[in-house]
Amino acid sequence: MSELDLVQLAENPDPRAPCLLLLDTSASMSGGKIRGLNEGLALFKQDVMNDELARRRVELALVTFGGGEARVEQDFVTVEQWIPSELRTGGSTPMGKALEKGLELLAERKEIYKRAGLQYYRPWLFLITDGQPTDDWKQAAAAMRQADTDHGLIFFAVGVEGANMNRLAEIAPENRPPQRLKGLMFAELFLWLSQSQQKVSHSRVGDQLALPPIGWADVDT
Amino acid sequence: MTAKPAPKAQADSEGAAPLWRVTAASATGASHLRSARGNDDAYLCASSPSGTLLLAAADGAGSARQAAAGAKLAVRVAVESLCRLEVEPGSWPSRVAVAVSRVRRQLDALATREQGELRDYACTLLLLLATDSQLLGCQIGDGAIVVRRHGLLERVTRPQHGRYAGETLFATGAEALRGASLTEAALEGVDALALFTDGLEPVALTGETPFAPFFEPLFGFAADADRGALERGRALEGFLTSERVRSRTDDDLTLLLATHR
Repeated sequence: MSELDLVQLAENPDPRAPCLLLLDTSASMSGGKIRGLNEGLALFKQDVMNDELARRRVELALVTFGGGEARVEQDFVTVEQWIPSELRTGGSTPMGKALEKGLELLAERKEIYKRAGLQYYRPWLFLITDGQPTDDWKQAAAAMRQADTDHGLIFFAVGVEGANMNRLAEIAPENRPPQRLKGLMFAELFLWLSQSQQKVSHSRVGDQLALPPIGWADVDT
Repeated sequence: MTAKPAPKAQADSEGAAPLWRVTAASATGASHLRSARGNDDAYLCASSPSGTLLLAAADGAGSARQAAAGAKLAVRVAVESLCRLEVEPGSWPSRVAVAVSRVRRQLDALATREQGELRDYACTLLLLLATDSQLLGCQIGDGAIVVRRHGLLERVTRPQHGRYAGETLFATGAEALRGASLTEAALEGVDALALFTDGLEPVALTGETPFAPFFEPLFGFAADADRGALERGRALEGFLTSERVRSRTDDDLTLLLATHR
């Protein structure tokens, strides 16, 4: 027996990669769009699960907005432990409330990481909508952009067919304009998100992380 | 003092370092195997007839396109630069400054020749020099340098972690020298050295503290006089590629060990 067999390995908790999805579940999202979104989420889970590290490191939270309220559909949970549930549609598009709720949820999560001594990657905030805010959004959007500028998070906005792209461009950070989803390519979108999160959760960077190419967006936006 | 590349799974030839017994190995990480990326770590060991030992390792940035070439050139240039003169007391910071600026210049030149950018060759840099009385460490980026002094493990230098997990400093960055952690300490009481890239951090450190049950058996193994350097290097590579290590960390792994004879 070699002494190498006696080497014990230290136990350390995995660093976490928080990923928060703000999902439009207003009435206009019904039909093919919400079906695509639900299937996309299931695919995301399946794809991340294939990655031994990412499944333990990527933590997902879902905030839906529709029916006049922003709802925490799923608080942060590792992808490994997450059980996707079917999203339903209805009502208006309170995007401002969703942004607010999202920032709140993220701040809470960072606090939990700090208390637990967990390292974490820069959080991602991913907004998907097919409309425009029906509530007051300006303050929440400004706070979100500021957090993005301060490197507190990375914000992506995706417009599904019918989305007011000009309004989305006002909400999104200037250096990361909103992307318009090609048709109903939710599957491609969520596979990209999964691949990106796998990269993030394995990453070690001095500056910028090279993300996989975006194949799901219209280039003319 | 002469620089001598240590090929994969091989350390010094016996007799070249009269004071230290060196064992070193490097292995491609599981994630790099999956993506057919290869090993982006590089290391070198050098020693002088007077017994001065120099250990160097670099870890090419995952985000850098030519990470492996960058790491390889970085350790070579750094070792060559530090081998030119014996280090006088107090001269370590200026010697490191010269070595790191040479590394950057050479990487920049390579990038220009290959029509790329300096950041394509980004890598961390770990250097440890043990003279007959001094221990001189330099760390740019993550990974760690651990020594055993009077039976206790200590870190010679401090890592540079960013605000978020996975963020670190690179020798190619403008902040490299300002952010580098440099140490000049007495060698007194030190009988074992370890230098490793960040791939081993999850299993070798608890938080930021060296995990003794990891290092003690390794130092015992490295001190084994019955086995040659080549055989020890192969065994160490076997350990780095073992399932129990691979299941816990998927990055490239490089470990250099030296024990006082």
